[in-house]
Amino acid sequence: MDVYSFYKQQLGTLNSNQKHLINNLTMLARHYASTPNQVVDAIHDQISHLKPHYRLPVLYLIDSICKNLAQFNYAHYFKPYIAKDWLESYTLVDGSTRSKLEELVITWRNGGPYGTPLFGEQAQLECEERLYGNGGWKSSIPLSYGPSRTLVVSELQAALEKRKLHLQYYPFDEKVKSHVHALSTLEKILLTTNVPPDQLNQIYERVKSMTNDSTPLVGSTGAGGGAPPIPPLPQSQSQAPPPLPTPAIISTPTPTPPVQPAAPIPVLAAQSNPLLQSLTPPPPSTANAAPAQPGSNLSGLLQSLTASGLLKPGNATAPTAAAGNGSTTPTSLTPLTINTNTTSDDSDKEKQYDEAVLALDIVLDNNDILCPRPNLDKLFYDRLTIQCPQCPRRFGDTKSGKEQLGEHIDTHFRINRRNKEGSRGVTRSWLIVLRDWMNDVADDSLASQRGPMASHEDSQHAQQMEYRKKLESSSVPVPIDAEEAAQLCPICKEKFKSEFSEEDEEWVWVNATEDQGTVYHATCFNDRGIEGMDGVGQASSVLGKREREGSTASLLDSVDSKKIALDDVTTDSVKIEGGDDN
Amino acid sequence: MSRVVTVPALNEFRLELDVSQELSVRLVEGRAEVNGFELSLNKWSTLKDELRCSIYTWTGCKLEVNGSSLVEYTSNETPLISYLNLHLAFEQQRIRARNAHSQHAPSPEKPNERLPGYANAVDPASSAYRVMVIGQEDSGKSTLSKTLLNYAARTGKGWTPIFVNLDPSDGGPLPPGTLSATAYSTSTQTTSPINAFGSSSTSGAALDNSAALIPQALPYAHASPARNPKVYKVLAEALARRLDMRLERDAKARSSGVFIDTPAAFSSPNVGSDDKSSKYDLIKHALHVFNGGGFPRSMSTADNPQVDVLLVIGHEKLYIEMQRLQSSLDASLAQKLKILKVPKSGGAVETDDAYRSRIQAGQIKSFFYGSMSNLSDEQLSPQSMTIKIDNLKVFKITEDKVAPSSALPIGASRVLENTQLERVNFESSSQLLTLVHSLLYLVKWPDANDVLNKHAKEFEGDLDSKDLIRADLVGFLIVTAIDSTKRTITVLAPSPGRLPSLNAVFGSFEWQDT
Repeated sequence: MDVYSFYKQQLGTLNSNQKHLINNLTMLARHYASTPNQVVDAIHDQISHLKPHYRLPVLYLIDSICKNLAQFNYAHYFKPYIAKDWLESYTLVDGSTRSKLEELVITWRNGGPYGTPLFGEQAQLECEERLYGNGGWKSSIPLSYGPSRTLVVSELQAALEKRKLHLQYYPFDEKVKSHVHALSTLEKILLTTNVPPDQLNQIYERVKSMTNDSTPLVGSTGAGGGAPPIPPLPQSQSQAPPPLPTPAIISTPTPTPPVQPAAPIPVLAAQSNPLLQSLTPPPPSTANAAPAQPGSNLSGLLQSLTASGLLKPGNATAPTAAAGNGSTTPTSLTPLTINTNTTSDDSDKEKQYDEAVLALDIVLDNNDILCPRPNLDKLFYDRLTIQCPQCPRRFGDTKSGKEQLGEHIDTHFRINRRNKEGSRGVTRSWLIVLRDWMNDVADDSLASQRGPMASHEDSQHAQQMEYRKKLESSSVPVPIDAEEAAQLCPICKEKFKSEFSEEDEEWVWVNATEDQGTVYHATCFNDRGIEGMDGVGQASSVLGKREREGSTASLLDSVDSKKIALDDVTTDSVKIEGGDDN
Repeated sequence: MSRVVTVPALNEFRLELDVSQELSVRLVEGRAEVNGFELSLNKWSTLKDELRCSIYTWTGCKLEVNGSSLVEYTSNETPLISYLNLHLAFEQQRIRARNAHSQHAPSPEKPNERLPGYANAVDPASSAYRVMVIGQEDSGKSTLSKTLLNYAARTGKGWTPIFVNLDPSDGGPLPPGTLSATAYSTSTQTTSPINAFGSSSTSGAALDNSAALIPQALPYAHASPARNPKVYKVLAEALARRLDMRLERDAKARSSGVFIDTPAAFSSPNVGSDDKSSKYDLIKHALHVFNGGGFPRSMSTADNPQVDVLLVIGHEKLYIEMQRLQSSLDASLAQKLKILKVPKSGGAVETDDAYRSRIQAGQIKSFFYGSMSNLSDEQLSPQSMTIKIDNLKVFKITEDKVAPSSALPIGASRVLENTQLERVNFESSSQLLTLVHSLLYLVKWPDANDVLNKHAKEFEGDLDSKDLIRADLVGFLIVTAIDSTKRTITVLAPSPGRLPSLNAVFGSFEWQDT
């Protein structure tokens, strides 16, 4: 069977919105990453034949594949279809699913590398036009209907995330800092209180006006959509000399000479500037207190935020646009931008570093190693100007550096998600044997940057699912005797589910196993814990992506279920050895 | 009580924590590093477990500190300048090694098979330095090793240096009693002395070294090499051969270098020496075994990678003794070996046995239960299981009972015994009860029929298959309870499911939940 047919067949299992199903199919897509077209075609063909309420999980699957397998660039292959698939589904589904689809499409807005739209500007716009009318999110045409709460929250969070990302690169951009504060305050209010529709609309307009503000942010793309992200100038410099803290000042940065983003001096200047301090957001205590008195307080807060210049009035689109033109033009002309845009010289930068290091006159000698050599610590930073927002890892401002950063941030995302879901069941792995260790050779591919365990987790999960599936499909013929047929699983005290087995041409209990004349649920029996282990298994390999052929026995070793001591699992029986019963 | 500390450029802020103290610190301005690990701006790190550390800044920085400590002060007498100079000298060699490799081995490597002529692809010039650090108790050996390791991993060159831990009193990324070799591709945060070198991988994903390392280890099962120097040497050599097998295949690690941290016993002249006239035998032995002897035979020994740099921390007498020792080494070894004196940091703090056993207990506990690090909140779920004692083969490493060399006939040299393990059958229940709370090292012998293991057999010669050096250390167990009438033991295992092996070694480490 070719990949297309096989994947399409597997898609048939995705009949409900279950995480493990989506994960399985994502893993499968990873497996077939060499033939992305076949996978993408299978998904696209599948979705167009699905009934409306089956579509959301498939769209979630697309989302999962594109975000989790970013290194295989699946998004590129979905690009031609995604808008059509999403729009069609959006028209068909009911209200609650709609809001889920809205949330989804908003996460796509910054889901690509560097906060670019996951499926490109064009597809994003097509989808968003359905939500916001002509011009998408950036249009100034008001919504024909009031925005839903989830929509506002997602918009707000998207705007917030984007600014937070920006701040990681330009931590001293006071303007964006103030935006972040304002947005977090709003987010807190939205999440903790029941905001009336008119105020919801008000917030929505404010958030929108902030998004329309053309502050150059990390990940902002030009109209072409495909242009590489243009790193902005540090904003702290451009707002230094205003005479009065009025809202207008914030949105009209004056062009200034380019500043090295890494230089620490402007930082101090910005922080010690009393004017900027007066502009800094109200202390967090205000924000914490706000949710306690919802409603009336909110409009007051919004007004005070507006007054302090942190938010612009929602209808002030014309001055914003003018200011935007004023600020973007000089930015794009600065030499700094041009320098950082030339990413073709990856190897040149490495060469320069190598030469700089080799040129050092260091001798391994007792006196020489004591010699202070000023500024050599810069070798750690000069080439690696981009720092991960969440940890101290640094990456070069080059194509490959950015790719690595994208991968790296992706892993953060997955770990954070896992931590949110609770890391229950994570265990220390067994150590690997010499044969595996000596071949655990790191390669230069990007995948190795993800850490060896990343894919191990996935494959382990897949193995676990496979094993679980095996258990669930094991069956026992339904006893003919009526009394026996009414028996319950002695472990969970629940009924068995009977099904007609085409294969055996008789009625069977599924997820059932027989042990010494008693029938149990196979999964219950597996989970009940067995004392007195016997037999020696294989150490499970933790080599992650370097998959090796594993016997069933070694697969079972990494199954994440409680205390199993199964020697053999077949589809129709589960045999236990060394248990108490023997 | 939160406070802001301003640290001038080229200074370090030193901290010492007491047993139950925790302290949060974050960088609010400038740049700073802890043992070569860069701190993130505005991210809080929690320091704990009696950590003694220093936050160094090349540029000057401001730190915000929250919590109490035993001692904290800023010092301008730090050895960091020499650490950086050393790093850059090693970096030069790494770059040269990588360039040499890419010139000589244009074809992609096939790590799983040794192709005809493959051995020739290992160009001696493609190895970065092997660096061994020696010094007395609490002189800062691990701190220096870690700083150099972190610097190498931090350059963005994609180096994967290998850290060899020869100090069984501190397991590095593993529980104590182990000798291990581990590749690092990123630098490691220091928040606790328990996980100063990160920790081995878990079933969860990880970004930092707190749960992502894949060590190769051997069980010594005691804290000091002095306890059984003969076995210690055998294991150190076995680890060196394993390292060679990896490096032969792993050009990237080969051009990234090896850092060898050693126990304080190395600097005691008489430990491990067969007779009084021979001093520093452990160092001599280590220098000899880490000479790339496991590399392909086609390579002449003179070209083998070897320990190129011996760093002696702040001890004039030891440094002089090492220079004398150099002349007693094989000519090829001595010729290439550079011995350097590195200043001892004023921040190095004396510790005691009680402190060390607390750290050891912490390392054992965190292997099973995990520890909270700043990047991944990790709590592990170990499994308790009951095993019939007679199903488990328990070995102890035989004590060094052989007669001293002086008792041998003149001219005779000792032949290493094949079997270093002795099965303990626990026939009486009192004998069985001695196992309670023991840390068991699960070992597994490669299947002799496994064709894939032909490499593993290469360096074994005709040794008995049950020899300790052939065994792979696959994990650890803690004996939590013993039922001497049923003859069962309850053990804590790191992962659920079947144990990877039912052969266990036990030694002198114990742990119980308090």
